[in-house]
Amino acid sequence: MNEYAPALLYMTDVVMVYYFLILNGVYLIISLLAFQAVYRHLLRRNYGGYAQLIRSPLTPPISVIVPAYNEEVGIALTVSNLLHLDYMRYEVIVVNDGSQDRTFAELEHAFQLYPTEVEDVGSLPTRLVRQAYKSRTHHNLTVVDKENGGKSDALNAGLNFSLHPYFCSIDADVILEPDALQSVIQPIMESDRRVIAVGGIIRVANGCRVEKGRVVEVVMSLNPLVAFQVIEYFRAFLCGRTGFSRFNALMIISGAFGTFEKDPVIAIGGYRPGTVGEDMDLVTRLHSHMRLQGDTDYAIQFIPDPVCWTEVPSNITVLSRQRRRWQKGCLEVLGQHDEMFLNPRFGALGMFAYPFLLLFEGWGVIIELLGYVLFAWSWWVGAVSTDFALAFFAAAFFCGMVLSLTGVLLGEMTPRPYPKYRQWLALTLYACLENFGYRQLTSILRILGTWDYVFHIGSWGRMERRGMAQRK
Amino acid sequence: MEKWNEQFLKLSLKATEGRLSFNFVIATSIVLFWIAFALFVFTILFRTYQYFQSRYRAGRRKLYDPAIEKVLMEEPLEDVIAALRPRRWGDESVVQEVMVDNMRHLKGPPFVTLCTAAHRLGLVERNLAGLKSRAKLRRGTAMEVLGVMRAPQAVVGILAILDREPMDMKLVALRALAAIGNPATLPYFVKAADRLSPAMLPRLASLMLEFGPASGPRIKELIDRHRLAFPPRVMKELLQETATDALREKKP
Repeated sequence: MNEYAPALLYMTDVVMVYYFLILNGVYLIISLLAFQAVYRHLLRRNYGGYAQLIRSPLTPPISVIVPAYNEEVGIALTVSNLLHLDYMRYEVIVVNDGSQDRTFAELEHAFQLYPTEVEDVGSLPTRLVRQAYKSRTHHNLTVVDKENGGKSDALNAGLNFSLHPYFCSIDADVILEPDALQSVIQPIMESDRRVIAVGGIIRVANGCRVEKGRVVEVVMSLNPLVAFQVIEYFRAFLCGRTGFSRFNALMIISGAFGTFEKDPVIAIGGYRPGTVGEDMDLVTRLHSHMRLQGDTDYAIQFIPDPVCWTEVPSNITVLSRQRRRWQKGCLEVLGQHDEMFLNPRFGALGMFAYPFLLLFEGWGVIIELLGYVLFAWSWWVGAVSTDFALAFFAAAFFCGMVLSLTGVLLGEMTPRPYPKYRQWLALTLYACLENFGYRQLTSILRILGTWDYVFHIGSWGRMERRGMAQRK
Repeated sequence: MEKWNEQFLKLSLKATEGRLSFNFVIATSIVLFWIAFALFVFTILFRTYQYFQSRYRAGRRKLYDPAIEKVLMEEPLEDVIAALRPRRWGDESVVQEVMVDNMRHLKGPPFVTLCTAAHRLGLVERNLAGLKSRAKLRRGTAMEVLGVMRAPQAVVGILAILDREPMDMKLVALRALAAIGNPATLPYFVKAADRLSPAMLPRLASLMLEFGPASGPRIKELIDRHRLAFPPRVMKELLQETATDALREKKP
């Protein structure tokens, strides 16, 4: 056995180096494609014709569904923000998912709710709906009060009450840009394929100045943990998702903001209750549904416009819960759709996006952490020379820098960048620093998430909200 | 442990062909370093350019914004034109921006005044020339601006673009034609439908609605030729709109 162990170690060492090369190579190519896509999108904005689009009677109305569970701190502000979007026809459906705090009372007080006989028109099974309410102040607001059943269940209840052909699911703690719905409806109306889902960039609101439910000044938080996440969000949304979207291989549209055509979502039975990554699950099932029906002329798109702002974890405990949940959700969804793996029937999704996510984003974290340990050990025993180790370390560092700086640059190109030079310089500095500690921390959290998945541990966890109303 | 390490070293040396060469890693590091540096410098330049450009344009805009007040106060056309006349090389685009931004929101006599001013200041001709530009951005912007200015003389140029441009620019061209609102162009919309993807036809129909009652028969023709491209919801809305338009036309 002893004879094979070193050989195995050596092989692992080689695998890790190639893993690193392929992973970063793919990321670099995707970033390049994303750069081109963002550039084209921004050029097109110059002659976008939003005004005509919004005026048109054929522009579809949208139902905005907000599941809320224990969101008393900011729910009234969020809903008030949603009721003042620049869009012709839309309704807001807030689903109070059995909150144990004053969420419903806050809504009742702020919008003068009264019980109504409106019945759910949909067919998705959900937990018991106690009562639906309409607002005396806003005709397009509906509040659904139901027993607690989780986010997916709440979204399904909202879908049952929605009247419009498209719906936008958003988190109860986000701030939407006033033109968010315009931005997402344009690809639906003007694409040469049937667009069944659209996502946009989620920006970090921590540190920003918020007034009356609007981000009035973009400011970067001084908390390093938040700054690292700002870079991560830029990289993930602007490089990753924009790049994957070019092949119609996008597997996730953030649960914080996503717009979907209702019919295909209903056809697949809505959101799947009990899933941790309900957003990724829905998008993957939509792909699966369309492909298995033989319909390849559809698109799930991502637009590089900032559509909403959200609060990210500002301490390690909350970050840990969030990342573990994300990792668990990702592995769950990947596990449930293994039929996609290298299946040409699913196009670029099956041949590229799914295997990439499975090998590099899902299980790759184990190789990544093993890589740190084994590479250090190989260097220690002399199997890897110090020169090689340093050169490899430099390559890894610069590669990380290139990816992060591409994200930062794309962030600068899109609307509402960080206005001050010092904030941009700080971002660049954090892009260097994230390789020393933050990246390793997130890898460990992902390992813990993988552990949770393997041993079926944990649930949604709780994000501590400070409420964005106070951010002045 | 020592024996184990020895074996490890031996096996490692044996299988060196699987390993990346030191030179490759060094070269990769150097290339990546320069890419990172280039990105850093590019971002600085980009930011600086954006900053100074926006500041400069905002400053120049302030010179021309009072002209819009003159338009709203219905002052003589010559005064308006004098206030909008570019005062420095490069100000044409600022003047155009000021005018177009306001024309999007204005109606009636102020809009007509701005249209006349745009013509007299040579902005229409400038954009007509832009339709033949090699740069896609310039062509797209020219179509958009001519649409907002409702320049009837742009119709021929835009129709030419409609024939040769890719899908996204076709849409810009159609939007501009719809904004200009010359009903004689409606047959081109129906013709364009043959070359557009079915998913885009509801959008095309929505643009045709911009022509008002005159579009009714052509929309019907479009629906007849591409019935499957219109989902029931869109079909219902379309029929409602065309019926309302027809009623409006019948009213004295």
